[in-house]
Amino acid sequence: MTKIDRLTCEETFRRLDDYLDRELNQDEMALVRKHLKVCDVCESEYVFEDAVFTAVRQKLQDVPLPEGLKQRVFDRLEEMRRADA
Amino acid sequence: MTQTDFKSLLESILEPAYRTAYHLTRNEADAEELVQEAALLAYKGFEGFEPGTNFKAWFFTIMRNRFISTYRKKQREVKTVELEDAPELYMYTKSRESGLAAQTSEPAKFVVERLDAEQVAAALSELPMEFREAATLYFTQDMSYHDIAEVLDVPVGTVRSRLHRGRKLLQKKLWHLAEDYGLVPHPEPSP
Repeated sequence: MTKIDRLTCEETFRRLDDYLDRELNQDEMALVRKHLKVCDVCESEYVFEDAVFTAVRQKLQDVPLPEGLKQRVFDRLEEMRRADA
Repeated sequence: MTQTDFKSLLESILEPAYRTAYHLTRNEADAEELVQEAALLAYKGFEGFEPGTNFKAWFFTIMRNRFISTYRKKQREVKTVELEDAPELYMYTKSRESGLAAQTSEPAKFVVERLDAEQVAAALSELPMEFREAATLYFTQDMSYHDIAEVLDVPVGTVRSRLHRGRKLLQKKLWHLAEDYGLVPHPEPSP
């Protein structure tokens, strides 16, 4: 079987999510990277999608652990351990 | 493994667990209760945890199952069948159609950064539950598809498809929010 050495725009687009998430194998990652280097349209779609999801991730990850929660969890574990003893 | 091992493993994932619990329950008190209940269940079932495997995924599975059995019933479920699909590259296309892409070099960042965290969280919470669960783990934890599949107990291909659809819908919701708040140009009304 002939090894694929380049992707069309459509083939690249189908792999864009997986490429963003580093879920492709090494060969496929390289094929998508190769296409993006020579295709401004696909490159700009990729940059846009990456920027959206990076910004969303930053917004959603800013949730601090409430003060004292760790101790309250450990206290409940200790209560349960004593009750079971 | 000992009680000390459990505490140490739990401590290492407590903050990420709370973050996900908060986005699932959308409520600080419920999120705290969900984490505590999951911790108790995990402690009771710790014998079932295989040392050397992924404790975080194991714990998140317990927490997610607890969420489904308790908190999910309280929430308004958005039925998948009721929900329209979103086109591919929704924000990319809209940012060009609206002229935003010509006004700023980073239109994606421009839109999302002007929404506050609560608005983005609300948009995520409005997704149908099957997309929302996958997207919540994806955006709040940087989990691989494999780990998300383990937590949700579905094949990796299902995670891929749910994330793809969930992200498209999320983009649509974020763009509409940005329109509602006047952050992006409104489309011209048809004559």
